[in-house]
Amino acid sequence: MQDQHTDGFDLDPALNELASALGRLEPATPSGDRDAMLFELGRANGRRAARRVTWCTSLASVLLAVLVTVPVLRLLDTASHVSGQPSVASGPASDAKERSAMQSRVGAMDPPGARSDEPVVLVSSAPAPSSVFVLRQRVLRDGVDALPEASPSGLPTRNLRPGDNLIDRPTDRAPFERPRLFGPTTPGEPS
Amino acid sequence: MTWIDPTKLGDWYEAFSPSLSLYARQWVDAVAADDVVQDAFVQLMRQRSEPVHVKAWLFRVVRNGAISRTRSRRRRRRYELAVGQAGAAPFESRPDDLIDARLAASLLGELDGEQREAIVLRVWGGLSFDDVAATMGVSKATAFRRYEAGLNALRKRLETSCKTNTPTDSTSTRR
Repeated sequence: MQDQHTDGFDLDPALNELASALGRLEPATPSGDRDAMLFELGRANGRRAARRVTWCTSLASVLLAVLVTVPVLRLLDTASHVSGQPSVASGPASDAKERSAMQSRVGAMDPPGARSDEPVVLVSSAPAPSSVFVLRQRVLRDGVDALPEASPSGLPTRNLRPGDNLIDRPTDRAPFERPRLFGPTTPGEPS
Repeated sequence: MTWIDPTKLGDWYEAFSPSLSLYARQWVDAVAADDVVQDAFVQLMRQRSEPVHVKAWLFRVVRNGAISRTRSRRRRRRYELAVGQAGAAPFESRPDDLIDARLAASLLGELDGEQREAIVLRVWGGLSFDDVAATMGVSKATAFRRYEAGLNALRKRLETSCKTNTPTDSTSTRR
């Protein structure tokens, strides 16, 4: 087994002979043979691969769970912010005529078994943006006269539904006169 | 996934495992030495690429594995002293051997651990002095000195052994 070159070192020839004689001794063969060793190698490799697969599967499961849970939680959160709690507004209509008119308008939307004297449940939602902006423009242009009339009791005169036209409602009030803040006052007017 | 051809692994095992096992037996017993050698081949199989010098790499791994198995210095020392005297014979006895296998094992066991390591690596491992030095973690000159000193010690012991045996032989011849 031992090669004869001495890598640049000078060794006594007698010691070289001894080394050669020792080299002729064959070390004992290990108990396992080649096939047994290869079998053990394969088994160790398989065990390692199985551990790796298990680890990868666990990681993938956790990732998928997170990927599914986060969007669902976000959706639920957004939905609760948008819808809020449903509000109930009830009150007598101002007169029978108006009530019947409103019922005829909303009748198509009511479920078939709904009673007419039941309070209408309104889901509070923002009015259509176009109406709000149009109303705002009108208020800016014409003053507060453009606002719809409020009921004297503070209660709505009828149940409002999303999409009701709040702008073109007829008003029976006299047009609002702007107080004159500047300019000449008439002699009889109190200042 | 194996990057090294299993056929190559098998060939290496057949070629190097006896000397690797003999090397590991400096620190652990015969059974543990076989385990250490097998572990070294498992580690070799896990390498992504073949080491540049496979034999030297295997001897280093076997050394580390065997030393880590001893766990304590005292246990290591006990194994160093007991090597060649206990367990299965480290050499296979053949009729054409110039030196008796059991005598050689016994004399090796009496050597200093570092000298014995250098001799095993060089004689049965077939490593160059560069690789012997790298495996032992010493300089090339130190590795050579240990090898030379070990061989000198072996020669002296062999001479002593022959002188001790000669009178017996001569006595028996006279009879």
